[in-house]
Amino acid sequence: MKEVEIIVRLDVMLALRKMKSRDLAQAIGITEQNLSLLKSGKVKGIRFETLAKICAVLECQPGDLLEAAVKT
Amino acid sequence: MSRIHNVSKLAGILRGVTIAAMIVLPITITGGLLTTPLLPEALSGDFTVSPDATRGQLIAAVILNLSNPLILLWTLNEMRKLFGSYVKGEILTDHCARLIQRIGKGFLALAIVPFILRPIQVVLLTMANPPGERSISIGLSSEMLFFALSGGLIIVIGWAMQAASDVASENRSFV
Repeated sequence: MKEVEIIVRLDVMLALRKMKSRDLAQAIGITEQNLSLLKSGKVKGIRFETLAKICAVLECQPGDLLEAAVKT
Repeated sequence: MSRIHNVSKLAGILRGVTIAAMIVLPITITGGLLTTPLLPEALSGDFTVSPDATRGQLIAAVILNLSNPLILLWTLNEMRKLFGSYVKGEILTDHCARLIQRIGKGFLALAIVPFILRPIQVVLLTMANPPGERSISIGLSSEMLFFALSGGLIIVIGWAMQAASDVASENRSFV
């Protein structure tokens, strides 16, 4: 079985929506620091609740934010 | 949130009581040591101290008697640290779990140490008696049983708290 890692594409969606991290953090009610950790993929996981809020604010699907890539 | 507030509030009161006990205990013991003459009669309890017991034997028995208050002081200090962490709102942390385990070990020591030292004390204080009148006493009091069970329970709670702190720590790494 191939080893797969999850890559967070939040920065891409933020750029497409021309939105600042600070505004998104405020809109979904998490700290900028936590959002920064999420963007850099330095978190163990994301709650469905947070994911749903991000999708609602950025008007996108979870698949637009997360990508499974084969580990090199 | 209100539960954490309640924990912090009660811990604040308990920390005050613990600090007061840590001040009163050494004063009481020092007072007792200074006012009680070092005589065999003063050390007699449920056994008769040999009237020929040397001063060295009496001092050794008194020193052995001090081990329990010292363990109690150490346990109280660990309790003070735990309550201090709770006051700061640090509840499900590895540090608190370790402190709980140490308190449990302190309670356990309060049961085990007297069980071991009591026979030594009796031997020390009756050693001056002629052969045949020397004695050794091994006993298990309800107090020892209480401390042993409480200590075991607190250690188990400490382990459970360590597992809880691991879960809380993992939960914190979720956004």
